[in-house]
Amino acid sequence: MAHIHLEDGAFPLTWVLVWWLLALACIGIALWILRSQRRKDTGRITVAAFVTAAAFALFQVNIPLFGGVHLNLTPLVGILAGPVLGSLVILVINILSAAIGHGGWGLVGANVLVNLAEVLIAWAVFRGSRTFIPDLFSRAAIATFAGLFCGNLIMIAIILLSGVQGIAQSSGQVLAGLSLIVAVNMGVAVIEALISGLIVRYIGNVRPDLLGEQGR
Amino acid sequence: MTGLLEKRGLILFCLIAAILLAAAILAFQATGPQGIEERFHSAAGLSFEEHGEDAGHGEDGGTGFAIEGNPLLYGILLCCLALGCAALYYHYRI
Repeated sequence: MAHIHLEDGAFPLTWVLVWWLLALACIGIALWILRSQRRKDTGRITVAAFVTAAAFALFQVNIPLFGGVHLNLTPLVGILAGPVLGSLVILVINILSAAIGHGGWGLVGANVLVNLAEVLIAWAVFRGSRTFIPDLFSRAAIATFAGLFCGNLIMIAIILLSGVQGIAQSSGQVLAGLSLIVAVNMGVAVIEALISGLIVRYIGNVRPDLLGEQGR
Repeated sequence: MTGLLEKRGLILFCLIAAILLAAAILAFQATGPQGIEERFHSAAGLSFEEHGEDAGHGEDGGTGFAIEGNPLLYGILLCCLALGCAALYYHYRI
């Protein structure tokens, strides 16, 4: 969903390095947490592998809606795999996407941060709103909205902070243009929320343990 | 009342979805039918004709760099990543 679709060279090299270093720091923290866990949750690792494959495949499919968009399933990654494994999933998806020309290599760091925000927020909203919204479908769908909206905000912040090279537009003009992208993206978020909600509800019915919903 | 409370999640979802769809349709009418990359280039002030089609074929803007679309550099980067992964696998006995 939120993904910076600019080629290498759009951002100054300094900012490319900043975003890469920040992304690597987040991945490093995730790896440290994983290694500090005494018991490996093999079930969740398997789920993470499945969502990586599904999200990567869906990432490459251009949906002819609003001129052409693609889904991410990053909020679903957060809900199913959690923020720690989810951050590794995001890194893998972005690296593989860059390898086949979907987004520049230099923007992998920035895109990891954007997608990481989606994973974290979706996971937090899904877990945090359990008492307020007991229905799995609605909770997952609203968590998806929240995650994707935050991802879009991070995307705008990264582009404005970095500055696009070789353009004559002011920051205000770029912000106005990006706001329209966010509006279109959030329209497509409705589809992503529906898909995520249905998947989570189905998993909740057949394997509630995968969602940590056994007690419900 | 209890029914409404039980369905508050669904009501909230429908409300958000309706607002977002309305905003998306308005934004789409403002920008016209554009692909996602074209939309991005337009928002950032880049010419899609100049940058979109030639993007990543060794050209870049000023102090930036361009490796997108360069098969040799892709190959080198993928080799580095594969070697790095192999080293980590070996080191941590995964």
